[in-house]
Order: sequence, then C-alpha cells, then structure tokens
Amino acid sequence: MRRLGIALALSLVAGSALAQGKEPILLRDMGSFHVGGRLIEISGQPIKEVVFTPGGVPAKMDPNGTYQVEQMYVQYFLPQNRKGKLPLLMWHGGGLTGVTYETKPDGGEGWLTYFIRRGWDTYISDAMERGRSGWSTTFKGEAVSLPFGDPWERFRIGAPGSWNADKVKRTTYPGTQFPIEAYEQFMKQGVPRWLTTDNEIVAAYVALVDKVCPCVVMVHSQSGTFGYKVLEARPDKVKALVAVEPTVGGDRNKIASIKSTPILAIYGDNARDHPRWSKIRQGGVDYAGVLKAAGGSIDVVDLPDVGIKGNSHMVMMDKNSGQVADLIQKWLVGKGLAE
Amino acid sequence: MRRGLIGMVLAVAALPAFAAEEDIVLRGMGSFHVGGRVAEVSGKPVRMIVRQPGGPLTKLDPNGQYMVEQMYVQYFLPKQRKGKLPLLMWHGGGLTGVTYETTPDGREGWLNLFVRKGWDVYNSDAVERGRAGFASSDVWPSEPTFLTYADPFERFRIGDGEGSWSPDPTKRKVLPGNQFPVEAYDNYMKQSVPRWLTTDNAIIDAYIALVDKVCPCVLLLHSQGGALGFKVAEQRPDKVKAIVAVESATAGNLGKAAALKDTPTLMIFGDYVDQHPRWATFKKIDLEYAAAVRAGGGTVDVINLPDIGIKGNSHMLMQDKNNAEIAEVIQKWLVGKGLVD
Repeated sequence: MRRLGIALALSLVAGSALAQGKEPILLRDMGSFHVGGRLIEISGQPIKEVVFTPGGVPAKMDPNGTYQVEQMYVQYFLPQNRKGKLPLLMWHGGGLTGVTYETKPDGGEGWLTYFIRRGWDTYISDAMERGRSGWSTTFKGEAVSLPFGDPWERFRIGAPGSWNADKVKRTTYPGTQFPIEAYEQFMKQGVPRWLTTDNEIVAAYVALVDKVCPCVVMVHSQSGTFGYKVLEARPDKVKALVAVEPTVGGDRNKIASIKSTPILAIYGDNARDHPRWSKIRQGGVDYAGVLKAAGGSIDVVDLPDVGIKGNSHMVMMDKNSGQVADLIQKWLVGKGLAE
Repeated sequence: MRRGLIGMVLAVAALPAFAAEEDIVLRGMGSFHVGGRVAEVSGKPVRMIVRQPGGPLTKLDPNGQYMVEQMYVQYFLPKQRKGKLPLLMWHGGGLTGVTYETTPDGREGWLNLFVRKGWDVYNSDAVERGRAGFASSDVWPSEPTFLTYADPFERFRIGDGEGSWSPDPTKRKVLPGNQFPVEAYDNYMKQSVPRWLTTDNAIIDAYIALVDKVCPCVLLLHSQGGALGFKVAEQRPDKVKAIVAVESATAGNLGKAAALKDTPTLMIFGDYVDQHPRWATFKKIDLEYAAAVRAGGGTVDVINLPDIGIKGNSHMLMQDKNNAEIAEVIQKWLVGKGLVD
C-alpha cells in the first residue's frame, strides 16, 4: 500500500509536469502551408442575387469562373532537440480535423505536443474538405453533420442504447477513459463531412507525402483507409504506419509492395464486443494475418490485452492518452525511428 | 558575369541565416473551441442521399440535435512574455487564422513574429470558417459564397484595378511596387474558404465568448474582422484594452463608438487605398467611425503606410514582402501605449 502510494505520487508528479506544460517547448521553427489541389472552371451557371450585409442592397454574383479546389492544410512544429529520425504526419478521422491531436476536450495535453516534446518534427493536417483546407461545391452529394448524440455510442464511450439527451441519464462503459464531462467540447470539434471525396482526399495526402517524406504516418479511424492507400501509392516514402483504430485495412492485392513498412495497429477497449467495432476490428485482424503470411510486418495491439483499459475510439483524447502515446513511442523507438 | 556570381553567392549565404532564426521558446501551446450552442433540427423531411460514389440512395434523417456556431482558437504562449495582455488575431472574410501564419511565399507571418516579440497570441477561425466548422443548411438556410480565383487579385489591390487580372501569370498587371508575393498567388488562394453572408451575429457571439474567456486583451483585426471586432469591443469595452485594425472593412456602430473611449485604437491602411473605389469607401467609413470614437473621448491613431514611407502594400499586409516592417510599426504603437514590458 505504501509502495503503491509512492509510485502513484511519482507518476502524478511526472504526469502533471508534462500535462501542464511546465517544461517549455523549444521549436526551431513552426508554420503552415497548403498542398495539392487544382484549378477548375465553372461555366453556364445563372447569376445569383446575394445580400452581403443583412438588410443591405442585393448584389449580383456571377458564380462562373476559375476556382481553386481540393487543396489541404498542414501545420508543422519542428522541435529544437530533434529525436524522431523522420517527420511524423498526423492524420485525423471522419468529420474531424487536425484538432483531434491538439489540446484534449478536457484541457489536457494531446498527442501533438506529446510527440513534439519527444523530439518529433510533427506535421498535423486537415484533410481535403475539412477545417482550414476549405471545401468546394464541386463535390458530389452533400455534406453530413454528425448529430450531437451520435458518437457517444458509435465511438464506444457508452454501449449501444446508452445515449440520452439528458446528461444524467447517459451511461458509459465501465471505466471509460473518455472525459465525458467534456463531451460537448469534443462535439465542438466536429465539422461536416462529404461521403464522396475519398479520391480527392488521397490525392492531397499523396501530394503532402511527396513534399515532406520519407516519414512516419499516424492515422486514426477514417484516415486508416487513407493511410493504407497512400502507403500503397508511396511505399518507398512511408517508412512506418501507426494505425489507431483504423476503420479499414489495406488492399490485399497490394500487400507485396508494402512489406518493408512496419505497421502498428491499435484498438481500444470494448472493440471486440461492440456490434460495429467487432466487425471493424476483425477486418483489421484478418488483414494483418494476410499481410504477415506474405512476409509483411504488422503488430496488432488490443490495449486491454496489455493492461490498458477503458479506451474509447478517441484514444488520443482519453484520460490515459499519454499512456497509449508511450506505447506508440516505444514501438517507434523499437523500429529504430527515434533516439 | 562575375557580379552575377557574387550576387548569387550572397543570396545563397543569406538563406541559411534566415532559416536559422532563433528558436521559438514556448511555455505552452494548445487550442480550444469556444461559444456555440446545441441546435435542434425538427420537422425536416428524411432525405435520400448517396453515401458512396456509385452507391445506392440511403436515408438521411436530418432531425435531431447538432452542436453549431462554436469557434476555434489556437494559442502560443512565449516563455519570455513581454506583451502585457493576450493578443487576439482575427482574420477577414472568406479566410481563416491561416492569414497570420506562414506567408504564401513561405516567410514568417505575424503569428510567429508577434510570438517572437513576446506576445501570448490567440489566433482563431471565426464561426463557419476553418476548424470552427459550419452548420448544415437545416440550421443556416442561406448559401455560402465562394471566391473565384481571380477575384482577390483586383479586389485586394494586388493588380492595377479592374481588368488587371489575366489567367496567364505573365499578363497580369500588378500595381507599381506592389509588395504582395505575386509569385505565390496560387498558395494564397488555397487559403480561402467559403463564407456565409447571414452569420454575423453568430460570429460576434462566439467572439464575445472568446473575449470573456481570455481577456483583458489587445485585438488585432483585419478586413471583415474589423467590422466584427469593433462591434465586439463596443459590447466589452472593459475587456478590450486596445485595437489594431488593419484595413478594417467597415467599422462599428457610430452610435456606440463612445464605448471605446478608454480603448486606444490604431487604424492602418496600405497603399493605393484612395485610388481604389471600394477601399476608398471602406476607409471613409472607418474614418467616420474614428471621428465618432474621438468625439466620445477616445483616441484613434490612423496610419496611412505610404505617408510614413512604407509603399506598395496590398490589402493582405500581413503577407506582403514587408510584413515584418509593418509588424514593427504595430509593435511600436503598442509599446507607446504601455502594453509591452
């Protein structure tokens, strides 16, 4: 009991020093850029009347002309004491932006600063169509906004049927690590998502990889599919892939080309039992089996199996996100990618 | 030939020196969303949508609760703090906080420059823009507008007025001595995002929530951000301790200008403003507002950059080649107002 108390006190001290950012972050540079995209021509559209200022005089607006579309926004932070041997690219999931990896909804430090503090040149981006990348009317179909309650069950904060509009009536998986008191804050990070734009998203990611790689790519959820597609398109440039709860694996017909890139796939808690996630996880596990049999290198980690319990789909925002980041960092060091 | 070579050697030598700027040392950095509300969509018909290209029509029920009208804020806190208050950077129409980041031609923007000067900088995306997200057409019935590729070239005083744009870059007519990095015009256009025309109140509400969270502070406003920023300051004059309005595209309410009597304000205008019909009008509106603030007992300093020998600035001053020089003008003014240690 005494020993446990001391260990706990020590870990709290270490955790809080980092979490509260007491140690300064030294950057040799920081900045941003847009990459990819193309110019398109719109013609034959009727001229519209718009009112620029409420109550103002309508002005004619001609929607025809040339437009810049399908570019992607990237922000980078380059630590003074570089220890990651390659740039680390962080790609977010569906309906979200690079904010996923920034300050957590409950105010704790996210993975962006975690990995900067460990010496990684970090490139954090908003996928084509999301956030600071902008979007255009040229996409097919319409943008879909996530209802307020939707992620609660789908992202395994609570089991199916656990959501309730009344806060006090919501239930969670036992021991959930998601900061439920900050659920509303998490939902503020949501942005609309199209369902028809995968090719354009991948094209912009390839443009990014061509610009800043060789590199390590970290993907989450929807970007799992993008990570694999880009790896398959640029196997010489993506030197490692960290897939956090990827929703899809790679293309089984392209396994031969990606065999030399080590992959780490991570799943949180309750993924085996959740009706949707059990299928997603099984797909990932099956793919890993095929990849391994063909001589590829992939490690699949179910966090509960290594004693890390309670993680939702938003692992990087969970209360124990630092613990999971430690696991990733250790894996990267083990692959010789960090000092 | 010899001189050409020496010139090249010097240019090459200058590059690493620029790249090897001093480190940026931060005591903290992070981000948050602020403001917003849970909107209820009800009574809308269930729509049939295509979720995957070539896929079947599937049902989409748009009814339910949605989080809308929040805004995004990213902050950088230098270890050696010299600005006495947080500095909030608000962008213009159809743009995001990217305005203040790396310039389209790859130089340091005002975000880095003011962090280096020791300011706690809060750079944000207004409601509806960038990482703030936007609401569906069920919540915001109006349609967003998109800028054509050519539009800002003439409207933001890069080109020499109407007809100066050409799809062929070699045929574009730039204003004499223009400071905008025209060779990076395509990168600039990648920064633009859709803009709604009916969301001013929602944008202002979120800005007020931000001010209530992190101020007392200094506001640095650009273009549309000026019109919004002055209206926010009128409602929180005790929290907005100074305003730097860079080519504000209209200002606040004349009837409420007196609220800014204790908020010193700097208005900055670039070059060719008086010759450009659109910008001459905005400037006139701004100066009328300045007069109203002064009549209410406040102080407004107006700097026309060409008058102090700084020529050729476009509307995107913070991205122009001399952006560091203008940052210095602003810094000097802030020092003069006692806002810097």
